[in-house]
Amino acid sequence: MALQKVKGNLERMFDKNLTDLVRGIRNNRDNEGKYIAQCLEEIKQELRQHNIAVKANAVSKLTYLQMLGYDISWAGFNIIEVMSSTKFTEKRIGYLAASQSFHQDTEVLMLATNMIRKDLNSTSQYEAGLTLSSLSCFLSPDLARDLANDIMSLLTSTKPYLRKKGVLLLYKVFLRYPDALRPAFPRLKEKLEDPDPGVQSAAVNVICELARKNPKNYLSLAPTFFKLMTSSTNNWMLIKIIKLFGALTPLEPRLGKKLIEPLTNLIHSTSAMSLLYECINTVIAVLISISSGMPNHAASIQLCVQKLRILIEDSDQNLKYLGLLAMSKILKTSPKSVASHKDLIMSCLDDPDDSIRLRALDLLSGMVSKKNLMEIVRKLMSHMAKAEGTTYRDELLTKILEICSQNDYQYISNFEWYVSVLVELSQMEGGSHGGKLAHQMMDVAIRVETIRPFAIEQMSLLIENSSVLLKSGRHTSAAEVLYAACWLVGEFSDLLAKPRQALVSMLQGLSPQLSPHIQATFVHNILKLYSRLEETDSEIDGMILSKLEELVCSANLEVQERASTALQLVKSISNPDLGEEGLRKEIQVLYGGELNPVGPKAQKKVPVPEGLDLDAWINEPPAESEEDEEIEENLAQVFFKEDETDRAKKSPTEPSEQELADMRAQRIANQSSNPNYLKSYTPTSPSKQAASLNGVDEIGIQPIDLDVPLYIPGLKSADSYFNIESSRERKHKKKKKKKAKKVESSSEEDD
Amino acid sequence: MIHFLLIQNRQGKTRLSKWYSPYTDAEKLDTKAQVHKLVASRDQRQQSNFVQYGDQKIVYRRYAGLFFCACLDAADNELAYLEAIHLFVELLDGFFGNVCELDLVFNFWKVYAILDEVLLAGEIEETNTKVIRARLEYLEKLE
Repeated sequence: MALQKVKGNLERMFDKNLTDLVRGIRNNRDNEGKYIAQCLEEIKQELRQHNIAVKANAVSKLTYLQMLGYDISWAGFNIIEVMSSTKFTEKRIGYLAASQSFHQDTEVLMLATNMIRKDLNSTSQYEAGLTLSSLSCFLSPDLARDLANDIMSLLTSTKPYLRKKGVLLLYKVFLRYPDALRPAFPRLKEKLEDPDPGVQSAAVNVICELARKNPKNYLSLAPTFFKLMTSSTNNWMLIKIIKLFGALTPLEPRLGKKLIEPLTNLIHSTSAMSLLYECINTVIAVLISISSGMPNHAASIQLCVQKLRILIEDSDQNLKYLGLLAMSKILKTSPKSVASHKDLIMSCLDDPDDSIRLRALDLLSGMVSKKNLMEIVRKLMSHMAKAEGTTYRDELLTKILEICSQNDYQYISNFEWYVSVLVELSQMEGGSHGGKLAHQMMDVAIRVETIRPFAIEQMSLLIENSSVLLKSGRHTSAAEVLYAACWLVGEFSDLLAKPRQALVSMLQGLSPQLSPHIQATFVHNILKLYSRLEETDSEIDGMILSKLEELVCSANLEVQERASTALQLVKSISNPDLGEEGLRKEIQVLYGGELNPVGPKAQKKVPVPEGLDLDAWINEPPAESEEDEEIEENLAQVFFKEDETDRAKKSPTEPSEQELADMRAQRIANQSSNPNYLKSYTPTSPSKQAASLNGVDEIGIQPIDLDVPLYIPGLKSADSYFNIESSRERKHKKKKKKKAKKVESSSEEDD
Repeated sequence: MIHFLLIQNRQGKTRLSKWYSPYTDAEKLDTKAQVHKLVASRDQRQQSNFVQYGDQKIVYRRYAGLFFCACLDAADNELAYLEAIHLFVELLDGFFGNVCELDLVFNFWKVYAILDEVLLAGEIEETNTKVIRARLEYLEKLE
């Protein structure tokens, strides 16, 4: 027996303690897994011993291993054993292991309830404090329920250390077991006036957190907090109280009015940046909730903006970021006060930190006006040129489009400039926003009649150079733009100066590389252009026919269908036997008439003729027959202009065509006489509908990074609209031309 | 409130992790990796110390080779918690005397004890350094 004991002691001498374990792991970096497995075996051995000190040693090693990522949940019972030790140092190890590895649902916790209770009520404040700290990590609803009373009695303990910990732990208890809140609340309130500042601030903390979840209940405490705010000098506590007031003011506007004065005092007096920031935030929140009417508010807003400007100008990145953040909140309520600081924000755009840049970008979009729009967009575009291949560039692009199209293009005075901006953007690299660009181009060209000739010229140039655009690997952006370009060229082909050339370039641009919906649109618009041609041209006929025959074999249904339809049409036109002049005129009728954008409420303006009951069944049900009718309707509308007269014809009793024609003529007259009228555009036109059915997909093609921006001669650059034409810019353009020539020649070599 | 506090070195090894909200073990591992990726790639001099992390934010500071990261709610005052982190580091420095990473590795349970004095249940507990230091000295004597 004695021998065993001696043997045991000898073995214990060779036990590793924590330091040895850590050293061993660091020394065995190559075979760490094996070494740790070995250590784990030893630990399991140690845990089987009866000696608590040995077990404590083992548990401390386990805690370290847990930190490295190994699971130690199998040792739960042993951990509880160590927790029950009478020695404080061993107990501490046990509780630490528990706080690291136990969680709410650990089953062994149930065994520990009584022991934890005993520890909470222990005479030594450090033991109780230890328990409180660890308890916060694995407090389960059951434990919370059982121990709530003990913790509450701790609130009245003589030692402030325990009172403080108890208060903070109560918050966790409330989270797990909400019923404990009601009885505990009065005691918690008392703690707000506790003589010890630590306990006081702990109580403030807890109440602030509670109030954030449920502000109404804590409104009654507002006077106490007000007193605390004006009397205390503890910045941490002040921050919490001010935040609490920020949460309460939406409920109680009078509170807000009372707050403004002490808050402004604090803003003037404090030197702590964190407190200043918090005050400014709350003042903004208060001002948002109070309806503006009092003259003081302008002064307080000015003060805030002033202070924020100081923050933004500071060289510390953190302060800049926070300043911009708060500015954007002010922007929502009083944009004018922010507008005067535009220059500062523009300079923030150059900041190396991209989170600051993004904030500045957000701010700018709120500050746009007619005068500064061009300047801002120019600046943003120069940024885009610098920021290659990042999400920041995409953000920039989206922002540019957003601010330009705000409020139906409210801020754009020169649409030519905007079209050239769009064209330039499409030449820029990468990004997944080709769809948006395309949409914008079409939107502008359709709604702004005067700009159409210019836009069409630019579009046809784009198509001519589409092969260059595509080859440089900018598939995503440029391809979608081609979709818009070819549609516009086809639709407004009467405005083209050289339709034949445009047709040729479209044929050349139509490559199988493009995505299917773009190909389909190309085919369709080639047909449109073709019908506009004045005279036959066997060369063009041959080109079209060969191209279409290629496409008839395409894998995509839409392309195939369109190609084969177009093929037949072209064949019949170009066939000399069939009197092509007449046929040509017929085809032109297909595309005759302008596609008027239909207002969204236009249908409602059509008076329902008498005797027509829109809710009555047209036929006998079942529903299938109606579906068929609809499908037929849609097919029939592919080549016909869709307008109210046609729709009306399909109803059993029709309104008189004359009436409708009169209404339309009148409306058109009104619109054309009003120079400011921008026709709203709804996608009811059939070709757009059919095209959009395929969806604007994102093409996941890897872009090839080219440093060199392309210069396509003839395409207007947006800068030409600025009177500021420095020689530097001219030189830059010359360099671009040279580089572009190099690129073009090299791409031709690749052919 | 603070959801978790992480001390990681530049290679991504976690020297201390304290979780004040319920996270499963898998989530903990995941979070550690994500935070390290977010924080380690930022430029100390030019970028701010606050990062968005889902709907929460991470406030961090780099001291020598260690990143001290705290995860806060969206409404919390970042500058205040940055100060709290600094307070914690100052306490560590005072306790260990010119603290280095190895001190934190070998005496990790003491580090947890110090942390428990500063933060409890995700809230700032005590900010008076004299009080905390006195208590820590007492606890040392018990060993």
